[in-house]
Amino acid sequence: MTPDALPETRWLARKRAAERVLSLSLPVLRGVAGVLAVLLIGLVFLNFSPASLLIILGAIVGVWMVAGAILTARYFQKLSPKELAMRADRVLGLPDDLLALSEFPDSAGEWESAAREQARRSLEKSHRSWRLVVSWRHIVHVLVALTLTLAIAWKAWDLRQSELRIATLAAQARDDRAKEAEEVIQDWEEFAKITEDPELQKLFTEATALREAVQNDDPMAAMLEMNKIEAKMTALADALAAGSMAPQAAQIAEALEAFAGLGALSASLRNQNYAAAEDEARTWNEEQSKDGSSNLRRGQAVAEILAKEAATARTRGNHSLSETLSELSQTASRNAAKNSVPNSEIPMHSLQDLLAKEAACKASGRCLATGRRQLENLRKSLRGEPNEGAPSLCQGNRPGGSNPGGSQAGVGTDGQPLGAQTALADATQAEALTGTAGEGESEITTTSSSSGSSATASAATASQLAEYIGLSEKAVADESLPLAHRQVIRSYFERIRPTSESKNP
Amino acid sequence: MTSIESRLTEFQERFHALQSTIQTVVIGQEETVRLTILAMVAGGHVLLEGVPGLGKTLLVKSIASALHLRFQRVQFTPDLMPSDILGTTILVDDGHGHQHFRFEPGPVFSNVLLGDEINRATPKTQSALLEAMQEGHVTVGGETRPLLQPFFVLATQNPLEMEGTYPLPEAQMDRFFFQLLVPYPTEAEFSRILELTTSATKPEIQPVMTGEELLSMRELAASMPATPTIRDRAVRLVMATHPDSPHATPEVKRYVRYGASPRAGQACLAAAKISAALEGRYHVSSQDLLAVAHPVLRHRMMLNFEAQADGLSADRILDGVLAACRADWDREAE
Repeated sequence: MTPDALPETRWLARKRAAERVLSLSLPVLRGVAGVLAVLLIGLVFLNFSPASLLIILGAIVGVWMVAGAILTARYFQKLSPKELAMRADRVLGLPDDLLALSEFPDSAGEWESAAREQARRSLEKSHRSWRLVVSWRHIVHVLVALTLTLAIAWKAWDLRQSELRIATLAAQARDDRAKEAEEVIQDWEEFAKITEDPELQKLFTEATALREAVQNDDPMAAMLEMNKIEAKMTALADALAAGSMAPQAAQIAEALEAFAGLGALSASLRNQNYAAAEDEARTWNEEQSKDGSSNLRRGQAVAEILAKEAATARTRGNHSLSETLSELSQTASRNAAKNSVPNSEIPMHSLQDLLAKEAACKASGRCLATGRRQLENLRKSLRGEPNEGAPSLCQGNRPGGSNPGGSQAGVGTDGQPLGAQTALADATQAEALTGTAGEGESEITTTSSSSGSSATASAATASQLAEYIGLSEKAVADESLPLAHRQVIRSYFERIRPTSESKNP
Repeated sequence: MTSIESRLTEFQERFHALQSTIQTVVIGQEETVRLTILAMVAGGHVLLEGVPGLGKTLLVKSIASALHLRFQRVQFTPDLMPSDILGTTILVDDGHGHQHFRFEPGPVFSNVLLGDEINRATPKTQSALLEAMQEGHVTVGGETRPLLQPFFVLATQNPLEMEGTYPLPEAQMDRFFFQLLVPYPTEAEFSRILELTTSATKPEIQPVMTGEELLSMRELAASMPATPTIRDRAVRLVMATHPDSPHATPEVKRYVRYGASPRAGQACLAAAKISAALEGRYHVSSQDLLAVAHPVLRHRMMLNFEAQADGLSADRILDGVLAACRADWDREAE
């Protein structure tokens, strides 16, 4: 058939093409809606990276472009004359007029001419009544597809915003971690300057690699570096524990109680307060006459205890302690019969040295424990877990200020265990914060007032002081305490009583 | 107006003139009259079936009267012999002492042969018409003799009185172009029939068409082109009556023993062409095929016993076939 075999071929072809597009649009829109629904479900239930979001947005555009391409191809798809004629006859109510025209043989001659004229008249009569009907199903399909498109676009935009928020938070967390690590490392460096322990000095000076790892935002390297530092700390702590007299302190204290005048030292030793015990030993050395003698009870039993402990110390490798205890044991054994021992025979200087060394060991152990807690907190920070705040080596383990009841307690003691200072109000009013610090049972109260006004803080301090005085008197008067302990407690409260210059209870 | 248009107009006018003339005597039965004339234009034979008194014979006689054609009537009875229809050779004395055989033509040598109650004759006699109906000539005494042209057999049969009848064999049925069921007249038609037939003056029919005109009409209709799609649809329609055809409907598969023959397709297309011409079209449409499907196919489908037991007629099965075809063709146009 020639292109002009049918009258008004172009108009008929356009109508038919539009009709085919309209017909195909339903399954195409269903397909678009299906793909978009899958994308939306994926967006809702799966995590997507920013690149994936771009892919999804691209997929939306792609799906619509494919749909458009399919419909466009359908519109321009070539129509066979027979198909066009049959459809036109059906729609326009023509009794196969156009179909006959499309298939007339060449020999039809006059018949074809007459049929063509007849078909032309019929088309005119039909007034081009080929109407394209957009049904409610088309409208619903379009609305569903558009709604899904908008929903995916909105969800993708929302996810993108979330990504930005998360990135900001991650950067902030990274800065916080770096800042926290920097604070810890600076704390270590500062502590290394003030500590007298060469091992600790060496350990806390060598944290440069950890700093670099944190600054480079390399959590893995930082973790490895922290593992190395912690291993060193553990080795150091093990060495300290091996040389410590702490496992034998109770037995030694019990033996020393038999010596008159060594009760306070014994009590301090029993409490493992080696600094106080050292003080008592120093006091004994300074005050006791070398020519005098001290009473000795249960001399033989004490000698046996001391001999046993000396053997134990030897077994543990603590030879200096073993020698001192052996000497003391021999002294007790020699003077057991007369229940009195000459002061000159008591190796109090050796004992004082051992106690001083043990006090230093304990301080070092605390430093190592603090350092390990700092490392653990830093690990939690790197893992994004909450931590209870990093303790401070310098402020919590300052030489001479770290013992329970020390006079240097203040803001940031033991690494600000009570948290950050409460922001002060502009008004002139006192802010008080009370809590338990460190491992001891001491209570720390921080009292501050807004700048420029010390009157309120002074009033609060006076109140705390009065409470402290009452508490100390009550503690000393407690009859349930042994007499030897009472002496220690009285000494403690007298030592920590604030002077007129100090307003800190 | 082109030549073909004027010829088609003339065709319609002649057809309607003939129908109008016949309808002055035959009251009602418009469709039967139209289809009978249509079959005659197509050159086919018609089997009219109806209860007695519906005017079948009157219709055939009226058609014969309206045409300038030779008309013969044969009342088929069980003792009717083939020679009574075809003719016979008799010994004739010429009065001079010479005798010779002369062929005495039977009633088949006419243009319009009315075979009244054709099913009352024996199959032997019925078969005498086979050659005449299909070939247009008869063979008697070893000599083939052509019939007059045009030649039509218009037969009637009564579907009620089956006692002493011989149903037409399938081959004979297939020769009939149409089988027309003559319906009972409506009350108004009945009243008009009474008025005409009981009055003193009876209408007379004057011939309005010659045999040549009828042949020219046939020639014009036959020259109408049928497109390949229409031919395919005619084939599809006929094949749908075969129970083993993929186009067969479930009813056809269940109730039909044999479907229509290829001769049905020829008849269908030929009738559709005349129907299209009567509609004023210059081509055959699917509607034309469907319009003539019942009279073409109803007598060519052999129903099985189950169909008879279920009281199904060929027309009812054909309704399903036509609906299926129409649906298929509509789907092609989607």
